Amino acid sequence: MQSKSPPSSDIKQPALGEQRVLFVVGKGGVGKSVITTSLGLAAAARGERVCIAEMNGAESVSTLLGCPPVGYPATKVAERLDAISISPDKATEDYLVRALRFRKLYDLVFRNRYIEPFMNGILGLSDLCSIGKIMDLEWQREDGSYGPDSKGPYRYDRILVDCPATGHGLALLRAAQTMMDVTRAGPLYNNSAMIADLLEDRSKTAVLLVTLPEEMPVTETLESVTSLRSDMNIALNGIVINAVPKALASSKDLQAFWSDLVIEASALGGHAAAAARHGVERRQRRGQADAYIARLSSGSRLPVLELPKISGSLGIDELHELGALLEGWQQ
Amino acid sequence: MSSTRPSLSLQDALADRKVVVVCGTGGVGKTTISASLALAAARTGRRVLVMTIDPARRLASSLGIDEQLGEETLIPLDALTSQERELPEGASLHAMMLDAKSTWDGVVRRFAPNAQSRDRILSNRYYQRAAGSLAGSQEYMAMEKLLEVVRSERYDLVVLDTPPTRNALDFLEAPQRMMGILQDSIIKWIAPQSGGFSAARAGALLFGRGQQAMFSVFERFLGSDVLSGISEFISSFSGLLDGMRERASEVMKLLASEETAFVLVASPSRISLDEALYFHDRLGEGGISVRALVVNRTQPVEDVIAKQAPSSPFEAGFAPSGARGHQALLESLWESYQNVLRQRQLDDRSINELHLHCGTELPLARIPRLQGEVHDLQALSTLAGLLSQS
Repeated sequence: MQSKSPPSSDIKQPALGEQRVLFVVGKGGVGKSVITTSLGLAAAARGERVCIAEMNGAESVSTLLGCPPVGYPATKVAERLDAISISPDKATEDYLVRALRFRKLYDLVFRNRYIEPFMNGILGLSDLCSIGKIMDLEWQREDGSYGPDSKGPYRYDRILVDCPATGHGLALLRAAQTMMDVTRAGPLYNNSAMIADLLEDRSKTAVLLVTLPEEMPVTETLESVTSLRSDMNIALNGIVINAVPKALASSKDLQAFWSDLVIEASALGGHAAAAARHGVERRQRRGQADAYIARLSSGSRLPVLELPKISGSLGIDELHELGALLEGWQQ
Repeated sequence: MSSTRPSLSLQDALADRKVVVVCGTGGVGKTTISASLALAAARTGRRVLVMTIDPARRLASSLGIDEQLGEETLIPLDALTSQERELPEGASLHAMMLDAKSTWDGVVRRFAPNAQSRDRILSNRYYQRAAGSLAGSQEYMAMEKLLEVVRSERYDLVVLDTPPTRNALDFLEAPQRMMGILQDSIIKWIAPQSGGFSAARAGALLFGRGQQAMFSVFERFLGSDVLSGISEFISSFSGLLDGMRERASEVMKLLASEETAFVLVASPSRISLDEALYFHDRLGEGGISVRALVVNRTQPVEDVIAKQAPSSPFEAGFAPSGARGHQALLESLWESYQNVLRQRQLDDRSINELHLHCGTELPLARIPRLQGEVHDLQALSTLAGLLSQS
């Protein structure tokens, strides 16, 4: 383990950070893929060469960008933006055979269906290989050379990892440590140690958490922060709180207008009254969101960015808009 | 706004069942709907248990309970208003959260052929890991517990909240897969009846005598004690497996029978409804029919006016005002209101598509997003009321 982390508030741009590898972590359904894709588009638009890695064989990036499934290996989805969908099977083959040259271990595991479930279930081999593939992407150079000792410019300036939902996402980040605990020595141990070093190198790797302004996602996010801090020395850049309802008549001088408007509306009935009820509800949700934002901020001591709720469909323009908000997030 | 009328209400569709399985993809509010359905059923006079596999303590927090709910726990309804807290004579609401590890321990304790074999499993270093992480183990344990509870006849109804999954049949197939793996492994990997587990011996059994070279590969990468540990773990399960298979097939029969109803939960977004549609079809392929649909957290706009809004607030009757602040406020309110109506129309279209696809005779409950959030008993009670009217 390295020395203790610098305080997270030193980070200038909490969304992307200075690190080349960024893991986007959060509960299912909070918008991780949308945020990862928006970040990728924004960084690519600035001239960075970006690769988005989707874990567990997910295919959200292609759905969001309206292009054919990206599959494996990495495929171009936009200017300077590649994406790859890392399935456990593909990653295991690729990582064990090509990167580690453990062809024999691969054959052993995958030609023997009595061993495979135990390797994956108990030892977490497929998780290790999936995270190993991220290290593999990090190693790749522009000229096709490869490995920790290669020189020359990298193939990707930025690798954004769209993690599976929290529980599995955290298991993925811990997979290297798990394998080290089990094997204790040998080549798989050594390789796991290399992955663990990359994850805990705070100049290279960071985590961005994503959540919603709701009870369970906020609680789970704070639990994740605690557990990541206690298990690993991985940099936590910040928390994005997604789909925050816009404020309505929040300033003092507007509140008098608001009260008048509600009275007027209820006298009018029909759409006017329904709109006012909607407004009351939105103000209430906004108030709740503010409380959750405060709780996240004080509970995690991390930078918190609120993203507005996007109404209607989510197209490329909205993704660029979110990307610009994320990029502009200064501490 | 549904154009078709289901022949049954949600309540009717679930009335005489012994088991209600609540399924759907992640993030749609399955746990909340499960607890609300359970409360609604308790109000009809039944003894109800709601069981969840959710590790996030969501069930406990929405039921207003601080404890972990590791055991069947009676839910006190004191926090509710006087009309809402009364259950009919004999009715009750219990809840529990499944903990895969402790259910595993229970199965091993109860069904191990002898004390020696029991201790051998419980003390195995890989058992700890496997109990939580072996694929299908959570699902298998849910079935074990379900069967135990149904057999005990302590309840008239068990509501089962399933873990989130992308694949609808995972919950049903995972236990079979897990047992298949254990079974095959035991045949192939059966350990010596007596004496220690030598890695070389395990290797010989596993790969055949001619394949020692393969074993040495395994040993080189992982170390020999990993292999012998796993081998010991698997072989110690041989005495348990017949019973496990028997009970699993009994549960499958129960789930496919008329005594069980599957309820599919979705949220009103296009993506979620598409997933629900896929879920419905996959369940059908697996021989399971969905008995009811719940679309959770729909836009809370009154039905009567859920149509095109006037394009400006003034058409709706608001008086123009000279004050700029007032004007801006009114415009932003109107924009937001129109967005909600538009969203509601889009959602409605998707919901109707789902309903048509699954069959309009199926009851479909639309549960509006409540003001505030559902993480206390009062909100749950409101939801239960809405569900029982659906």
